[in-house]
Order: sequence, then structure tokens, then C-alpha cells
Amino acid sequence: MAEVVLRDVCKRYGSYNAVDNVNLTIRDKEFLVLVGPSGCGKSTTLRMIAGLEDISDGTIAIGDQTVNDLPPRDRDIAMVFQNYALYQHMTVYDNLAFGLRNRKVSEDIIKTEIDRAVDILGLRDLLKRKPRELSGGQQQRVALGRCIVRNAKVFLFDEPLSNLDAKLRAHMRLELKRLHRRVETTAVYVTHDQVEAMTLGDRVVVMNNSRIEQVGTPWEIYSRPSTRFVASFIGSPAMNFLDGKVKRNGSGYHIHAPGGAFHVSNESARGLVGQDGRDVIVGLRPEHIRLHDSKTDNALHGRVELTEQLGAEQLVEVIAEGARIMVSRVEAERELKPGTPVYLTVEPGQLRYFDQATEQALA
Amino acid sequence: MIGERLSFQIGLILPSVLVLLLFQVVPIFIGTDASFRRWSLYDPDKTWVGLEHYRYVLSDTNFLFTVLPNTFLLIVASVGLSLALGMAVALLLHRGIAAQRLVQTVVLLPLMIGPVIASTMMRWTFNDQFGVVNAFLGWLGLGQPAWLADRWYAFGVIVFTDVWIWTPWFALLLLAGLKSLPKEPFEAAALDAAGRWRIFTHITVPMLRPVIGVCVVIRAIDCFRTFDQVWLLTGGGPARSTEVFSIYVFMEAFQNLNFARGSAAAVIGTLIIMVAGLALYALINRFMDVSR
Repeated sequence: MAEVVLRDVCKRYGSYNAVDNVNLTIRDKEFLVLVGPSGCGKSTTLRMIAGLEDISDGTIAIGDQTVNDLPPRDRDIAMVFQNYALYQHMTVYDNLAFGLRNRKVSEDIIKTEIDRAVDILGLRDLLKRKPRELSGGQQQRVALGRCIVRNAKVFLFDEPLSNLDAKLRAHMRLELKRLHRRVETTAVYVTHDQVEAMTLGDRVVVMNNSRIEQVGTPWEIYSRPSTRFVASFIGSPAMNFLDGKVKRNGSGYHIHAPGGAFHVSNESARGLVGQDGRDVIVGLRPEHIRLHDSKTDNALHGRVELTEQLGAEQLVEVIAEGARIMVSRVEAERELKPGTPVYLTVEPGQLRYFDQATEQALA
Repeated sequence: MIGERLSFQIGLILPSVLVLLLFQVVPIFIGTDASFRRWSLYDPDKTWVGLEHYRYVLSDTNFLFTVLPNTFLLIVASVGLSLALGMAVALLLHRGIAAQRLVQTVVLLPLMIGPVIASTMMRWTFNDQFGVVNAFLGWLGLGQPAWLADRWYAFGVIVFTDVWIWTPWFALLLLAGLKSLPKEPFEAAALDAAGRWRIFTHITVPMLRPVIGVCVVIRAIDCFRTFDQVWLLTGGGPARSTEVFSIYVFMEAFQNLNFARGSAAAVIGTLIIMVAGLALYALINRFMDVSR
């Protein structure tokens, strides 16, 4: 129902920049996820949109209205907090009704709205209970219900699943996705969990050190990370980074890395044009690496250090000339003893290169 | 090994147990025993008279229709007013005001002044000839009542003094309570468009209820025993009209030197306050299971 636009938004605490020059447009009905390590400024950004924190610099607009000086109550937003922030002394019904009663909505309409929300969330039997009589998942649903009944322009989520256990978290993640499809509203979702970010977001914003590192669809973020930080933050297990050297070689390039060299054809190495002779950081995703027992062309040579059996697959740590390389998706039944020599290959198109100094992607 | 540990523990608590026994428990027994005997300085036989003194006290119209109503009126007025004022001060300090530390210290001053000194101060403040209150009223061209010579004026001064002394205590405890509340429900309420008053009535007070409850119970029981303020301001006068429970007991025992009758009144008071206290506590306990 509304677009949210952040223009040059800053948040300063004394001389510390908690949020530094953030520019972001959240499209109407989009589910946008802010993800980053703790202290990166994602929650502060969200709280500035909510009006719970002052904006030090820049403007925030919701719909076509600048909201910098509007108190939270006038911004027409609803928010789900990490610890749910339910009113513990009120029944579930009163919790859901509180925001509407404050806006002088008639009890008839309140009842209709609550009925609708309760059906969506399956809270029918819990209306007379108090929050402390509910499980974590149920409390979270009540908090969601509080948003739904409000028909707010924008939904804000501040790490809503992080207090739930792993199983419930996976379940609620799906529910949230289903919910967003049913209640089409602009949503901003803050999390430090990259799985939540990837699965929930129409677009994902990766933040680090008070700044935005990259904005894009989950696939863009995963396949074309714009910085080394994004590459390392998204994906599990994390991307491997090796020091490499670019050498031009006829029609293509050679990348010299610990344990060997890759030949990369011209087409699949757009980022390396003009980088001849330079030192770069080579990024290899563990899931893209294939493990060979015998010597292969274009491969890094190393020895198995450790294996982790996950049942469906194995994670293998390989040491190549002192560099640690994590390899995932190795067949579970394959026997790899520590010390076994192995050869690692990667499809050239799946390699990523980063500048050693700026850590920006070369592409 | 355990014996050594046990004896060490006993050694630790023994001193306080002895003091408690000697100065609290034994006097309670002596006093209770006295209340069943004829026990006054001019009659040293200490004859057992059973419930005679209880019958006297419970049929004393002064005790029933002046002392008890006064005592409960004082409790309701003093606890109610200092709770309300203390809450206001706590909210103000919690929100943050200019010169916070200075104000906080000034507000707490009454707590550091003994009730005797505070009461003496108030007696002079409200003195009908030399008091600052009447001087001020005269300057405004208003009437200058003899504050301590009229029953309800005098009672008002007593309540005022008690509120003056105890408001900081409420403010301090409620402020601590406010500071310990989680902030998210308040943020949620701000997003839910609740105004200040609605946040106060629907979020703050319910969440603070356990603290408020404990404060009220402690203060109400304590207020039942009020002595200094009343004794110094009015001495129970004019004409015993502002007498409260403790003054009644003191008068019977140490002015009339009828220890037995005083003891009987004290025992009756203890029973009243036990029942009232437990009832109050049970009442408040029903609201206790509220927050978090």
C-alpha cells in the first residue's frame, strides 16, 4: 500500500555513526530483508522507519509523506518485536484490539478485523488467554495478528524469529511467507540470519559497518556478491577466499592460487580484463568445488585435513599450501581419510574475484 | 563435618536471635500476659482478670468511634496521596527533567529527616501566630485559621506532614520499578497510537502493579502505627479528636499508667493489623501474577 524511501539517512550517537548515509527504496508490497552482523545498523534503520529513533540526517518518506517529524502513532506502521512485546496483562483479544481502540474504531469493526486475523493465524481458541499462557510460537502469532488487524501501510519486523527454537523458526518462516502472500503489504524485515534473509526476501539488503553493502534479489546477492563481505556473509558454509595472481595466457587468463593454477577462458572472466599481473582475492563457494582423487587439469592440489559427516553430505576441509579450503556436498559415503591427497576443481564461471585492497568484486 | 558447619551457622544467627528474643518476643509475651491482669503502678498484685480490659477497650466509644476511624482515615488519605504524588514524581524523574540529579536529591530530602524533626518543623510552619503558612495567607489577605485547634484542620496538617515525609519513599521505589520495566511494550503502545494517559493507565500501571502492591501493603501497615507526627503536632487533640491507635495505647499505658489496658489495646491493634494486612496482601496478590 506504500513505498518507503530512505534518502541519505544517518544516525549518529555522539561521534559514532550507527547508520551512515543509507539510500534505499522499498517498493510497494515488497518484502525487503535487512541482513547483517550485530551492530551493523540494521535494527537502527528499522527503528528510524518506525519512529522509535530520531533521524540525525536525511529523510524517510512513507507513501508520499516525509515522516521525519511524525511520531510513531501517525506513521501508520505496525511492528513485530524480537521478544514480541505483547501486553502481558491483557488477553489475546485485548492485545489485538488495543491499537484499534486507541484509534477510536468501533467495537463491531474491531471484532470483524480480529476475526479475520484470527482465521489467518489460527488463534481462534486462544483469544481469552493471557500471553504468558502461550508458547513462544503462539505469542509470535499474536504479535503478527496485532499487525494484521491494523491494516497498516508498512509492516516492520525486528528479528521476530530469533527467540524461537530452530524447528519452530523454520515453520514460522514459511508461515510468514504465506502470510505476506495473503496480506499484501510493504514489509521490512531485520535479521542476522542469512537463511531467513534468503528465503523471505523479495530483495535483500546486506549491511555492514553502518553502511549498505549490496541490495539485490537473493539470487543476485548469492551469485554476484558485490564485496568480499557480502560473499562471506551469505552462503553456508561460507565462501573460501584464496590469494591469487592473474596471469594473461593467450586467449584467457591463469589464476595462480595456493596449490595450483586455474585456466579461465575469456568469456568467463569478464572481471579479470586488464588485471594481468595483479594480486586478487579468489572466492570459491564450498558447494561449487568438486573433489577428485587423481590429478586433473586446472585443479588445486591439497590434502584432506578434516571431514564432517552430516548424513546427507560431508563437509571436507582441505589444506592447499597452507590455505584452508572448505568443500561441501561431498558424497556422504565417500571415504576420505585425513592426509589423503585430493584435487579441487571449480567451473570457471562460478569463481568470484575481489580487489585485494578495496575488497570490491571485480566484475 | 556437618556438625561443624551447623554450629558455625548457629553461631552466625545466634546474636540476632538473642536480641530478637529478648527485645521482641519476650516483651510481646509479657505485654500479652499483662493485658489479662490488673497491672498498674498503684495496684502491684497483678490479679488475673481475664478479658476485662478487652471488654473495656472494645466498648470504649472513643476507641471505636474516634481512634479507629481516625487511624483508617489517616491510612487511606496518607497512603493514597503519597502514592499518587510519588507516582507523579517518579514519572517525572523517569522521563528526565532539567537538573535531574539536583531535583532527585532535593526530592529525597524528606526521607533523610527524622519524622520527629519534620513534625516539629510542620508544627511551627502551621503555628497560628508565628507560622509561615498563616503569614502567607495574611499577605494574600485571606483568613488565618488556628490550624491545630480545629479537628479537621489539625487532621489535615497531620496527613500533609505524613504525605510530605513519605512521598519520596514512594517516588524512589516506583522509579526503581519504572526503570526495570522492559521498554518494548511501551514502544509497541506508541506504534499502537496510545496517548500518554492511555499508556499510563493501560501499560505502566498494570506492569507496575506488583511494585505498587508491595509499597501500599508495607506503608499501610506502617501507617497504622503512626505516632511521632500525631504526638508532636496535636498530641491527639484538640480534645482527643485526632487521636490515632498508637496515641491511644500510649495514653492508656504511659499517661494513665494503666499498663494492662494499654497492652490490651495494643494486642487488639496487632490483631486488627494482622487481619487487615493479610487481607490487603491477598487482595494485591490477585493482581500480582500480572507482569511478565
